Amino acid sequence: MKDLRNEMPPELDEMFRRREGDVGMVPELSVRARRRIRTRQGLVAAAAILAVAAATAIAVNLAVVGRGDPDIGDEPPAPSGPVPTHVAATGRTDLFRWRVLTAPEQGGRLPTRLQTASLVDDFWYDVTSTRLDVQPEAEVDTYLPAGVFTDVPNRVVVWGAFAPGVDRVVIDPGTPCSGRGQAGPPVTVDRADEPIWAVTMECGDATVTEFDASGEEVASRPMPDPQPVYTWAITTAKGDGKGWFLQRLVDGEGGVAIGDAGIPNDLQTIIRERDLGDDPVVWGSTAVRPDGAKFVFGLNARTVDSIVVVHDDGLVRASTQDFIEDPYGTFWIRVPFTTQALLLAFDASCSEVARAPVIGEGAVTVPADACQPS
Amino acid sequence: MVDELQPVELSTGLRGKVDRLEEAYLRSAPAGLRLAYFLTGDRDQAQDLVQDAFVRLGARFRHLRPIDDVDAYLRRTIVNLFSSTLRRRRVERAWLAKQRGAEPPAVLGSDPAERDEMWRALQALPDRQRAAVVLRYYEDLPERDAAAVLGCSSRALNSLTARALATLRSVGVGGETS
Repeated sequence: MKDLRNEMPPELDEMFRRREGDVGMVPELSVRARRRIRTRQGLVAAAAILAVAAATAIAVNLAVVGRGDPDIGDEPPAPSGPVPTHVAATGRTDLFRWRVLTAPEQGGRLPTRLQTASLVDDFWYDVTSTRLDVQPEAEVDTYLPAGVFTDVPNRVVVWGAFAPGVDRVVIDPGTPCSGRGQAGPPVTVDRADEPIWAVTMECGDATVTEFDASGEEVASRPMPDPQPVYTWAITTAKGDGKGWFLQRLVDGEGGVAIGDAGIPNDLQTIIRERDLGDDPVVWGSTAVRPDGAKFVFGLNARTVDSIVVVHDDGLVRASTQDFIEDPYGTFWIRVPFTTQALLLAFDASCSEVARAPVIGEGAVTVPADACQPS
Repeated sequence: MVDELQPVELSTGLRGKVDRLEEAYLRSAPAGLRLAYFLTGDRDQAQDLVQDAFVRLGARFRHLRPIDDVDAYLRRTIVNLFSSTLRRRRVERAWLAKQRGAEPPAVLGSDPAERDEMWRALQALPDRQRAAVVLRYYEDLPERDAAAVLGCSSRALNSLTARALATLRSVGVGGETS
């Protein structure tokens, strides 16, 4: 008997045809979209070495196009080949979990797909797909969710294919993206059953070196510069068992929001400029859980000079960032696990302008030196 | 008129990439816009979605080569953005409603689309079911490709599609517009 459950009703097809014309003309790529593209590519431009590489690549590309069919750039692309569904590597950063899926190699290229998930559930999201060259040298790709932070290190997921004859790969993290301290010791990955290797490491100008079974070096080259995906991330935090990005909102009305680092484009607690209104401070936070700290963040009027959270065991001063184009300031505080905590804001003369409990009733003793004018 | 695509800070190489992106936009945006329209049910949102997708494409353009399937990448990005945008808007609406103490009133527009029964039934489906139907029956993707776009197995896709079609049939959709 024929199974009709998944057969398309003719009415559905009619509706699709009927409504296709409603879409209207395709608008020009908007100025805002162009600016956003420019911003993202401007980040690349900031890395001089990558800019040189890009210019070279384009020059080669133009030369090839120039020699060939003048319409080659308009040719529709070929089918993308097999879809990666085999989980070949998994890992986690302190903010999110990740896994790399692969499909069988095709034409010397290995399809890979990177997915991320929150620390607290098992929903996986596609973040990037790449087909890595396997010969003659194995290609490497990177995923750096957000840019360089001023107060915390940033992790990058790096994965690559094992080239034929390569039994071991050593990744030396080099100088950290933040320019502070050491990015950690080299990471060694031995070939096992999978065609790829994948690691998490601190963002830096890493070098990837391949060795054969006898330990002889086969090739060594710099890792491609990781390109941040979330340009407007300000910092990261742990709270409520999750890893978070604190992000600046730049589309429409300004503000800040936090989103789960494992979920693409996630925005949860959102604070807009209008929420601040005439108040000196507006804040939001992650929930308190028995295992950890609370992340407090928000907007402040420009008349606010300093913000602190006083808790049972001490005091934490807020990190602040003022963007020139914003009429307000942005702040964030990592409050350690405690039962009572109180947020205080001061103006430049150390007059208290805001007071709010952030944990419990805020029943704490405020030290005399809570305000230190900046 | 100043060309927005030729800022002084961009090197020649990067400008070339933006121009190639513009070409890709002209070629692929119409199909992307139709997909986004069936997913969102709203022309403006569909346009935003496609432009956002191209911003993403711009960021990944250096990884895409001539033999890569830009259309497949765009399709996947639109569906992913559709899912995450809806989730974000739901969360934002819930948060704003909580702050204001009430849910904003639903507004019925004058769009003739709202009078199309099949259209309404499609838009009333849960997001992933709607995406499954659009990918399978409008985009005409094979099961495996549609499942890949949605990040699920073929079996899960079939289940989504079957539930969606059952819902469409159960609301008595007959193909006539009221």
